[in-house]
Amino acid sequence: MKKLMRLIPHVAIILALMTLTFFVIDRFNEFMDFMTAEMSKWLFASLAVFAIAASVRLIAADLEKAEREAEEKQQKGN
Amino acid sequence: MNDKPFRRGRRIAGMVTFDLLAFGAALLVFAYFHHVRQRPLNPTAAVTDIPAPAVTPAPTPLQTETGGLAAETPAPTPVPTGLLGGKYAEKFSADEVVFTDAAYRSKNVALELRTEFLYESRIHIVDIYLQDITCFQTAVYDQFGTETLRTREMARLTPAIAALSGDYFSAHLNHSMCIIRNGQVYMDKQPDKYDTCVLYKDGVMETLAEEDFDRDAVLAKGAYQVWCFGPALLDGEGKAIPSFKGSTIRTNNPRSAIGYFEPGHYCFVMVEGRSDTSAGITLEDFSAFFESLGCRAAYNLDGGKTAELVWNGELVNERLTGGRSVSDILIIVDTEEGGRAQ
Repeated sequence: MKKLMRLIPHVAIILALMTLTFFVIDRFNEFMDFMTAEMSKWLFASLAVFAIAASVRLIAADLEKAEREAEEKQQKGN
Repeated sequence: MNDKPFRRGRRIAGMVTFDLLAFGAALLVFAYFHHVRQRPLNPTAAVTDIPAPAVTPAPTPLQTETGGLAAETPAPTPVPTGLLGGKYAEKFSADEVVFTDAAYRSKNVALELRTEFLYESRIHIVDIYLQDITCFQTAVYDQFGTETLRTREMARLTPAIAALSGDYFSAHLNHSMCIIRNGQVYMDKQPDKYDTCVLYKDGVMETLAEEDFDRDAVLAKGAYQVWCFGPALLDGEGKAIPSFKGSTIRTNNPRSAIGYFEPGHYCFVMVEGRSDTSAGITLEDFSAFFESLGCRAAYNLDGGKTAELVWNGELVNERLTGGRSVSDILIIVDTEEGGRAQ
């Protein structure tokens, strides 16, 4: 599970790179349908899901880190 | 010695490499499903049958009141009542089929092929005169299996005298469009993005902007072919459109398009491009060119590597870096005479 969780940001990066690629191609030739194809729409939705998951994981890690730092500070104070 | 930064750098490099490789693989998978793998086409219905072109019957001799035949008068020559009526009669050949490198003439079909050099580009034009609209057809890949084919290869599977790459509609099936081929309805939705070109059974052709397209009216008027790519190259008055600002395909490119003069008179135009000898044409120049031809309507089809023109089974243009397989091509056949030389 932990390994799978680690993959989330990588998947998000890959999906984001694909989105940027499609965006650039679409600027040159919109008739290629890279931004409007059904499959692209699923790709964008997946990007959103993975971006949210990665963000939640990052926020949780930040909170954990902040709590740990606060605990360490308290221990030092004692 | 502390090798922690070194190890971290190596890990990051490994991650970046992995991500890039996975990105490349994902693009390949996407391209396979988006471009290579073709979905089967399921035409839903056929628009009502196309009537055969009417032929004026030879006049019956009048009977006099006394029962005898009226005074002998020379029987008038039957007036051709195809799409063009008696117009351009000199283009057709009533007796025998004439098929050369630059012309085809029969009773119902007359084609003339010529090449011009304008706008720093080689422009191939097929002037088309038809008495019978059923000679103007679209070949669709599902007639030949489920594989897309290059224009020449698909044309060779048909009796096409001349063939032009089409609108590659199967690549845009995600969109809401109206697609009709030879009276067969492949999709009858309101277009959401493209200008549409409609050829009716009476030989009239018109281009319609997305907002002007009335799906029910088009079907009711007897649409025979409906193409979806565009843009339309002339305005409603047959005048050139000065600017295609906003279109991402307006720059110099190889192109193919269809022009309309009047019912029964059309043209295929193919412009070579992206080569040392032919630059390709902008949409603005292409529009001006169709105005100079005297067309009343003109419609841009899929260009770039897709654009190809075939005459009697052979490519007229030079194929651009391998060409591209397409889902459909516009063909002119001679339904009565059997078509091109095999």
